[in-house]
Amino acid sequence: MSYQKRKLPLTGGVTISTSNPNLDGTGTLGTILTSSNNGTLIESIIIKAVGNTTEGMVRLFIGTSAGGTKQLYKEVSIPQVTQSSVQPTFELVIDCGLVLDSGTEIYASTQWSETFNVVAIATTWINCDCATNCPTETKYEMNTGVVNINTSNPNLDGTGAISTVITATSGSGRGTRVTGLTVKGTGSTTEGMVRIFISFSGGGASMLISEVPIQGMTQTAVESACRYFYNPSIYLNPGDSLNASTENAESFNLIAEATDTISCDCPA
Amino acid sequence: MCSSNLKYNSNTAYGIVNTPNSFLNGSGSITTIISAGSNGTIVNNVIINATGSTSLGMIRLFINDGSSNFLYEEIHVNANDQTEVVQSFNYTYNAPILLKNGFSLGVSTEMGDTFSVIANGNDIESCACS
Repeated sequence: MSYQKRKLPLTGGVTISTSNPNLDGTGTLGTILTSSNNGTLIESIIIKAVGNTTEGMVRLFIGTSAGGTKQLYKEVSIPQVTQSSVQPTFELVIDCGLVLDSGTEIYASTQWSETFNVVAIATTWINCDCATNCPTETKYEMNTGVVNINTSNPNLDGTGAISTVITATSGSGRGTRVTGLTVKGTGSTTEGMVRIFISFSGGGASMLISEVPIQGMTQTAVESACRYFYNPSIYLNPGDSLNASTENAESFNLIAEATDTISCDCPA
Repeated sequence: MCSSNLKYNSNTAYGIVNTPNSFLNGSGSITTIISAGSNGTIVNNVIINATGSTSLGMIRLFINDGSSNFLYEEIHVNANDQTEVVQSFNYTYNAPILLKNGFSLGVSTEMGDTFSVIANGNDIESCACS
Protein backbone atom coordinates (compact mmCIF):
# COMPACT_ATOMS: atom_id res chain seq x y z
CA MET A 1 0.00 0.00 0.00
CA SER A 2 1.40 3.38 -0.92
CA TYR A 3 0.24 6.70 0.40
CA GLN A 4 1.34 10.27 0.70
CA LYS A 5 0.58 12.73 3.44
CA ARG A 6 1.89 15.95 4.87
CA LYS A 7 3.39 15.63 8.32
CA LEU A 8 3.51 18.66 10.61
CA PRO A 9 4.80 19.02 14.15
CA LEU A 10 2.16 19.31 16.88
CA THR A 11 4.10 19.11 20.12
CA GLY A 12 2.25 20.32 23.21
CA GLY A 13 2.86 20.63 26.91
CA VAL A 14 1.35 21.53 30.26
CA THR A 15 2.48 22.11 33.83
CA ILE A 16 0.49 20.26 36.49
CA SER A 17 0.64 20.72 40.25
CA THR A 18 -2.86 20.17 41.70
CA SER A 19 -3.39 16.93 43.62
CA ASN A 20 -5.86 14.52 42.00
CA PRO A 21 -6.07 10.87 43.14
CA ASN A 22 -8.88 9.90 40.74
CA LEU A 23 -8.52 7.25 38.02
CA ASP A 24 -11.95 7.83 36.48
CA GLY A 25 -11.12 11.07 34.65
CA THR A 26 -12.67 13.42 37.20
CA GLY A 27 -10.81 16.11 39.14
CA THR A 28 -8.12 18.50 37.95
CA LEU A 29 -6.50 17.57 34.63
CA GLY A 30 -4.05 19.57 32.54
CA THR A 31 -4.48 19.52 28.75
CA ILE A 32 -1.25 18.52 27.00
CA LEU A 33 -2.47 18.91 23.43
CA THR A 34 -5.48 18.71 21.13
CA SER A 35 -5.29 16.55 18.00
CA SER A 36 -6.03 18.20 14.64
CA ASN A 37 -6.22 17.65 10.83
CA ASN A 38 -6.60 13.98 9.77
CA GLY A 39 -5.13 12.75 13.03
CA THR A 40 -2.18 13.10 15.37
CA LEU A 41 0.58 10.66 16.26
CA ILE A 42 1.94 11.08 19.80
CA GLU A 43 5.43 9.68 19.44
CA SER A 44 6.61 10.17 23.02
CA ILE A 45 5.70 11.92 26.26
CA ILE A 46 8.25 13.58 28.52
CA ILE A 47 7.48 13.91 32.24
CA LYS A 48 9.86 16.13 34.20
CA ALA A 49 9.47 17.16 37.84
CA VAL A 50 10.39 20.76 38.60
CA GLY A 51 11.20 20.12 42.26
CA ASN A 52 11.28 17.46 44.93
CA THR A 53 8.94 14.49 44.60
CA THR A 54 7.46 11.94 46.98
CA GLU A 55 6.31 8.47 46.01
CA GLY A 56 3.20 8.90 43.92
CA MET A 57 1.75 8.77 40.44
CA VAL A 58 1.31 10.87 37.31
CA ARG A 59 -1.65 9.82 35.22
CA LEU A 60 -2.40 10.36 31.54
CA PHE A 61 -5.94 10.45 30.16
CA ILE A 62 -7.61 10.67 26.74
CA GLY A 63 -10.88 12.45 25.99
CA THR A 64 -12.44 15.20 23.92
CA SER A 65 -12.93 18.87 24.49
CA ALA A 66 -16.62 18.30 23.76
CA GLY A 67 -16.99 16.59 27.14
CA GLY A 68 -17.68 13.04 28.17
CA THR A 69 -15.59 10.77 30.35
CA LYS A 70 -11.83 11.08 30.21
CA GLN A 71 -10.32 7.59 29.85
CA LEU A 72 -7.27 6.53 31.83
CA TYR A 73 -4.45 5.87 29.35
CA LYS A 74 -1.39 5.29 31.50
CA GLU A 75 -0.11 5.54 35.06
CA VAL A 76 3.51 6.50 35.70
CA SER A 77 5.05 5.71 39.10
CA ILE A 78 6.92 8.64 40.63
CA PRO A 79 9.81 7.90 43.03
CA GLN A 80 10.90 10.00 45.96
CA VAL A 81 13.65 12.36 44.77
CA THR A 82 15.22 15.23 46.68
CA GLN A 83 16.58 17.70 44.21
CA SER A 84 19.94 19.36 44.76
CA SER A 85 22.72 20.96 42.80
CA VAL A 86 24.00 17.50 41.94
CA GLN A 87 20.75 15.49 42.02
CA PRO A 88 18.43 15.92 39.02
CA THR A 89 14.70 15.82 39.50
CA PHE A 90 12.61 12.91 38.29
CA GLU A 91 12.31 12.61 34.51
CA LEU A 92 10.96 9.99 32.17
CA VAL A 93 10.39 9.64 28.42
CA ILE A 94 7.56 7.32 27.39
CA ASP A 95 7.44 5.91 23.86
CA CYS A 96 3.79 6.03 22.84
CA GLY A 97 2.87 5.50 19.19
CA LEU A 98 -0.58 6.75 20.14
CA VAL A 99 -2.91 7.89 17.34
CA LEU A 100 -5.61 10.44 18.18
CA ASP A 101 -8.64 11.58 16.21
CA SER A 102 -8.91 15.23 15.34
CA GLY A 103 -10.42 16.96 18.38
CA THR A 104 -9.25 14.33 20.84
CA GLU A 105 -7.15 15.60 23.71
CA ILE A 106 -4.56 14.10 26.03
CA TYR A 107 -4.41 15.18 29.65
CA ALA A 108 -2.21 14.73 32.73
CA SER A 109 -2.80 14.72 36.49
CA THR A 110 -0.63 14.24 39.57
CA GLN A 111 -1.41 12.23 42.69
CA TRP A 112 0.29 14.72 44.97
CA SER A 113 0.60 18.51 44.88
CA GLU A 114 3.97 18.45 43.21
CA THR A 115 4.89 20.19 40.00
CA PHE A 116 5.58 18.38 36.74
CA ASN A 117 6.00 19.47 33.15
CA VAL A 118 4.37 17.03 30.77
CA VAL A 119 5.27 17.41 27.09
CA ALA A 120 3.92 15.33 24.21
CA ILE A 121 6.17 15.07 21.15
CA ALA A 122 3.68 14.74 18.32
CA THR A 123 3.02 15.19 14.64
CA THR A 124 -0.26 15.76 12.87
CA TRP A 125 -0.89 14.67 9.30
CA ILE A 126 -2.90 15.89 6.34
CA ASN A 127 -3.86 13.35 3.70
CA CYS A 128 -2.96 14.41 0.18
CA ASP A 129 -5.77 14.55 -2.36
CA CYS A 130 -6.33 11.54 -4.52
CA ALA A 131 -4.34 11.62 -7.75
CA THR A 132 -5.72 13.76 -10.56
CA ASN A 133 -3.10 13.22 -13.25
CA CYS A 134 -1.72 9.91 -12.09
CA PRO A 135 -3.82 6.77 -12.32
CA THR A 136 -4.75 4.91 -9.18
CA GLU A 137 -3.64 1.34 -9.79
CA THR A 138 -5.11 -0.56 -6.89
CA LYS A 139 -7.87 0.08 -4.40
CA TYR A 140 -7.88 -1.56 -0.99
CA GLU A 141 -10.62 -2.48 1.46
CA MET A 142 -10.43 -4.41 4.70
CA ASN A 143 -12.07 -7.83 4.76
CA THR A 144 -12.75 -9.85 7.91
CA GLY A 145 -14.24 -13.32 8.00
CA VAL A 146 -15.63 -15.03 11.10
CA VAL A 147 -17.25 -18.39 11.75
CA ASN A 148 -17.84 -20.78 14.64
CA ILE A 149 -17.21 -24.49 14.09
CA ASN A 150 -18.25 -27.25 16.49
CA THR A 151 -19.24 -30.34 14.46
CA SER A 152 -16.84 -33.28 14.52
CA ASN A 153 -15.22 -34.10 11.19
CA PRO A 154 -12.15 -36.38 11.00
CA ASN A 155 -11.91 -36.21 7.19
CA LEU A 156 -8.91 -34.74 5.38
CA ASP A 157 -10.38 -35.04 1.89
CA GLY A 158 -12.72 -32.05 2.01
CA THR A 159 -15.86 -34.03 2.82
CA GLY A 160 -17.99 -33.72 5.96
CA ALA A 161 -18.86 -30.64 7.97
CA ILE A 162 -16.72 -27.73 6.76
CA SER A 163 -17.55 -24.05 7.35
CA THR A 164 -16.51 -21.00 5.34
CA VAL A 165 -14.24 -18.58 7.20
CA ILE A 166 -13.76 -15.97 4.48
CA THR A 167 -14.67 -15.61 0.83
CA ALA A 168 -12.65 -13.44 -1.54
CA THR A 169 -14.41 -10.48 -3.04
CA SER A 170 -15.89 -11.30 -6.46
CA GLY A 171 -15.59 -9.35 -9.68
CA SER A 172 -13.12 -8.49 -12.41
CA GLY A 173 -9.72 -7.41 -11.16
CA ARG A 174 -10.47 -8.34 -7.57
CA GLY A 175 -8.83 -10.62 -5.06
CA THR A 176 -8.20 -11.03 -1.35
CA ARG A 177 -4.99 -11.44 0.61
CA VAL A 178 -5.44 -13.17 4.00
CA THR A 179 -2.73 -11.99 6.40
CA GLY A 180 -4.02 -13.19 9.75
CA LEU A 181 -5.84 -16.35 10.83
CA THR A 182 -6.92 -16.86 14.44
CA VAL A 183 -8.24 -20.11 15.91
CA LYS A 184 -9.83 -19.36 19.28
CA GLY A 185 -11.45 -21.97 21.50
CA THR A 186 -14.60 -20.90 23.32
CA GLY A 187 -14.31 -23.48 26.09
CA SER A 188 -12.24 -26.41 27.31
CA THR A 189 -10.59 -28.59 24.67
CA THR A 190 -9.23 -32.09 24.28
CA GLU A 191 -6.32 -32.99 22.03
CA GLY A 192 -7.45 -32.74 18.46
CA MET A 193 -7.08 -30.83 15.24
CA VAL A 194 -8.53 -27.87 13.38
CA ARG A 195 -8.11 -28.14 9.63
CA ILE A 196 -7.90 -25.35 7.09
CA PHE A 197 -9.07 -25.88 3.53
CA ILE A 198 -9.11 -23.80 0.38
CA SER A 199 -12.11 -24.00 -1.92
CA PHE A 200 -12.06 -22.81 -5.51
CA SER A 201 -15.13 -21.17 -6.96
CA GLY A 202 -14.64 -23.13 -10.17
CA GLY A 203 -15.69 -26.29 -8.34
CA GLY A 204 -14.11 -29.41 -6.88
CA ALA A 205 -13.65 -30.54 -3.30
CA SER A 206 -12.11 -28.32 -0.65
CA MET A 207 -8.35 -28.90 -0.50
CA LEU A 208 -6.61 -29.32 2.87
CA ILE A 209 -3.79 -26.77 3.18
CA SER A 210 -2.98 -26.75 6.90
CA GLU A 211 -3.67 -28.54 10.19
CA VAL A 212 -3.62 -26.83 13.58
CA PRO A 213 -2.90 -29.23 16.48
CA ILE A 214 -5.16 -28.42 19.44
CA GLN A 215 -3.91 -28.93 22.98
CA GLY A 216 -6.04 -30.38 25.74
CA MET A 217 -6.76 -27.70 28.32
CA THR A 218 -9.40 -26.68 30.85
CA GLN A 219 -10.86 -23.19 30.54
CA THR A 220 -11.92 -21.38 33.73
CA ALA A 221 -12.64 -17.84 34.85
CA VAL A 222 -8.91 -17.23 35.18
CA GLU A 223 -7.50 -19.71 32.62
CA SER A 224 -7.98 -18.71 29.00
CA ALA A 225 -9.18 -21.07 26.32
CA CYS A 226 -6.70 -22.08 23.63
CA ARG A 227 -5.69 -19.62 20.90
CA TYR A 228 -3.53 -19.99 17.82
CA PHE A 229 -2.57 -17.22 15.41
CA TYR A 230 -0.93 -17.46 12.00
CA ASN A 231 0.30 -15.01 9.37
CA PRO A 232 -0.57 -17.10 6.35
CA SER A 233 -0.28 -14.55 3.49
CA ILE A 234 -2.72 -16.45 1.28
CA TYR A 235 -3.96 -14.83 -1.93
CA LEU A 236 -7.49 -15.90 -2.81
CA ASN A 237 -8.93 -15.61 -6.32
CA PRO A 238 -12.30 -13.88 -6.67
CA GLY A 239 -14.99 -16.09 -5.14
CA ASP A 240 -12.55 -18.61 -3.64
CA SER A 241 -12.75 -19.22 0.09
CA LEU A 242 -10.92 -20.50 3.15
CA ASN A 243 -12.84 -23.12 5.12
CA ALA A 244 -12.32 -24.95 8.40
CA SER A 245 -13.30 -28.11 10.27
CA THR A 246 -12.66 -29.59 13.73
CA GLU A 247 -11.64 -33.15 14.59
CA ASN A 248 -13.58 -33.10 17.86
CA ALA A 249 -17.05 -31.73 18.55
CA GLU A 250 -15.66 -28.70 20.40
CA SER A 251 -16.31 -25.04 19.73
CA PHE A 252 -13.76 -22.83 17.94
CA ASN A 253 -13.99 -19.40 16.37
CA LEU A 254 -12.06 -18.93 13.14
CA ILE A 255 -11.25 -15.30 12.36
CA ALA A 256 -9.55 -14.33 9.10
CA GLU A 257 -8.12 -10.83 8.67
CA ALA A 258 -7.60 -9.82 5.08
CA THR A 259 -7.34 -7.06 2.52
CA ASP A 260 -9.46 -6.99 -0.63
CA THR A 261 -7.62 -5.62 -3.63
CA ILE A 262 -9.36 -4.10 -6.64
CA SER A 263 -7.06 -3.63 -9.59
CA CYS A 264 -8.08 -0.67 -11.71
CA ASP A 265 -8.51 -0.92 -15.47
CA CYS A 266 -5.56 0.23 -17.56
CA PRO A 267 -5.96 3.90 -18.61
CA ALA A 268 -7.40 4.31 -22.12
CA MET B 1 4.73 13.62 -8.63
CA CYS B 2 1.90 11.20 -8.15
CA SER B 3 -0.29 11.63 -5.13
CA SER B 4 -1.69 9.00 -2.81
CA ASN B 5 -4.20 6.33 -3.69
CA LEU B 6 -4.81 5.38 -0.11
CA LYS B 7 -5.69 7.67 2.77
CA TYR B 8 -5.60 7.02 6.48
CA ASN B 9 -7.96 8.76 8.88
CA SER B 10 -7.49 8.26 12.58
CA ASN B 11 -10.21 6.36 14.41
CA THR B 12 -9.62 6.32 18.14
CA ALA B 13 -12.48 5.09 20.27
CA TYR B 14 -12.99 4.19 23.88
CA GLY B 15 -15.43 2.79 26.40
CA ILE B 16 -15.90 1.64 29.97
CA VAL B 17 -16.35 -2.06 30.78
CA ASN B 18 -17.56 -3.07 34.23
CA THR B 19 -20.43 -5.58 33.97
CA PRO B 20 -19.36 -9.14 34.81
CA ASN B 21 -19.75 -11.61 31.97
CA SER B 22 -18.27 -15.11 32.12
CA PHE B 23 -19.46 -16.21 28.66
CA LEU B 24 -17.06 -17.04 25.84
CA ASN B 25 -19.83 -17.65 23.31
CA GLY B 26 -20.61 -13.99 22.60
CA SER B 27 -23.64 -13.70 24.85
CA GLY B 28 -24.01 -11.40 27.86
CA SER B 29 -22.78 -7.86 28.33
CA ILE B 30 -20.20 -6.83 25.70
CA THR B 31 -19.27 -3.17 25.21
CA THR B 32 -18.60 -2.02 21.64
CA ILE B 33 -15.34 -0.09 21.59
CA ILE B 34 -14.66 0.66 17.91
CA SER B 35 -16.61 0.23 14.66
CA ALA B 36 -14.98 -0.06 11.23
CA GLY B 37 -15.21 2.70 8.64
CA SER B 38 -16.73 2.28 5.18
CA ASN B 39 -13.54 0.80 3.64
CA GLY B 40 -12.43 -0.91 6.80
CA THR B 41 -10.28 -0.09 9.81
CA ILE B 42 -6.89 -1.20 11.09
CA VAL B 43 -6.98 -1.34 14.90
CA ASN B 44 -3.32 -0.84 15.79
CA ASN B 45 -3.62 -1.57 19.48
CA VAL B 46 -6.10 -1.87 22.35
CA ILE B 47 -5.13 -0.24 25.65
CA ILE B 48 -6.79 -1.60 28.81
CA ASN B 49 -6.52 0.18 32.15
CA ALA B 50 -8.33 -0.72 35.36
CA THR B 51 -9.67 2.35 37.10
CA GLY B 52 -9.23 0.79 40.54
CA SER B 53 -8.25 -2.45 42.23
CA THR B 54 -8.78 -5.72 40.36
CA SER B 55 -9.41 -9.32 41.28
CA LEU B 56 -8.10 -12.32 39.34
CA GLY B 57 -10.09 -12.55 36.12
CA MET B 58 -10.15 -12.07 32.39
CA ILE B 59 -10.79 -9.41 29.76
CA ARG B 60 -12.18 -10.76 26.50
CA LEU B 61 -12.07 -9.21 23.03
CA PHE B 62 -14.85 -10.07 20.57
CA ILE B 63 -15.31 -9.33 16.90
CA ASN B 64 -18.88 -8.56 15.91
CA ASP B 65 -19.87 -9.20 12.31
CA GLY B 66 -23.04 -7.13 12.53
CA SER B 67 -25.11 -9.82 14.18
CA SER B 68 -22.98 -12.09 16.40
CA ASN B 69 -19.96 -11.78 18.68
CA PHE B 70 -16.95 -14.04 18.09
CA LEU B 71 -14.34 -14.47 20.83
CA TYR B 72 -11.00 -13.25 19.46
CA GLU B 73 -8.64 -12.98 22.42
CA GLU B 74 -8.52 -13.40 26.21
CA ILE B 75 -6.31 -11.26 28.45
CA HIS B 76 -5.46 -12.36 31.98
CA VAL B 77 -6.17 -9.81 34.71
CA ASN B 78 -4.04 -9.90 37.85
CA ALA B 79 -5.29 -9.41 41.39
CA ASN B 80 -4.01 -5.94 42.21
CA ASP B 81 -4.66 -3.44 44.99
CA GLN B 82 -4.36 0.01 43.49
CA THR B 83 -3.05 2.75 45.75
CA GLU B 84 -1.54 6.19 45.30
CA VAL B 85 1.81 4.51 44.61
CA VAL B 86 0.71 1.20 43.06
CA GLN B 87 -0.42 1.33 39.44
CA SER B 88 -3.72 -0.19 38.51
CA PHE B 89 -3.76 -3.17 36.13
CA ASN B 90 -2.86 -2.16 32.59
CA TYR B 91 -2.24 -4.03 29.36
CA THR B 92 -1.76 -3.09 25.73
CA TYR B 93 -2.79 -5.58 23.08
CA ASN B 94 -0.53 -4.73 20.14
CA ALA B 95 -1.41 -7.07 17.30
CA PRO B 96 -3.20 -5.13 14.58
CA ILE B 97 -6.80 -6.22 13.99
CA LEU B 98 -8.31 -5.71 10.54
CA LEU B 99 -12.04 -4.95 10.59
CA LYS B 100 -14.20 -4.76 7.48
CA ASN B 101 -17.08 -2.34 7.06
CA GLY B 102 -19.96 -3.40 9.32
CA PHE B 103 -17.69 -5.12 11.84
CA SER B 104 -16.78 -3.86 15.30
CA LEU B 105 -14.61 -4.77 18.28
CA GLY B 106 -16.24 -5.38 21.67
CA VAL B 107 -14.89 -6.06 25.15
CA SER B 108 -16.20 -7.90 28.25
CA THR B 109 -14.87 -8.51 31.76
CA GLU B 110 -15.09 -11.72 33.79
CA MET B 111 -15.35 -9.83 37.08
CA GLY B 112 -17.26 -6.67 37.99
CA ASP B 113 -14.13 -4.51 38.03
CA THR B 114 -14.02 -1.31 36.00
CA PHE B 115 -11.73 -0.99 32.99
CA SER B 116 -11.13 1.87 30.59
CA VAL B 117 -10.54 0.50 27.08
CA ILE B 118 -9.02 2.60 24.29
CA ALA B 119 -8.78 1.33 20.71
CA ASN B 120 -6.25 3.05 18.47
CA GLY B 121 -7.19 2.69 14.84
CA ASN B 122 -6.98 4.06 11.32
CA ASP B 123 -9.85 4.07 8.87
CA ILE B 124 -8.60 3.54 5.34
CA GLU B 125 -10.03 5.39 2.37
CA SER B 126 -9.14 4.18 -1.12
CA CYS B 127 -9.11 6.68 -3.98
CA ALA B 128 -11.33 5.95 -6.96
CA CYS B 129 -9.77 4.42 -10.07
CA SER B 130 -8.77 7.21 -12.42
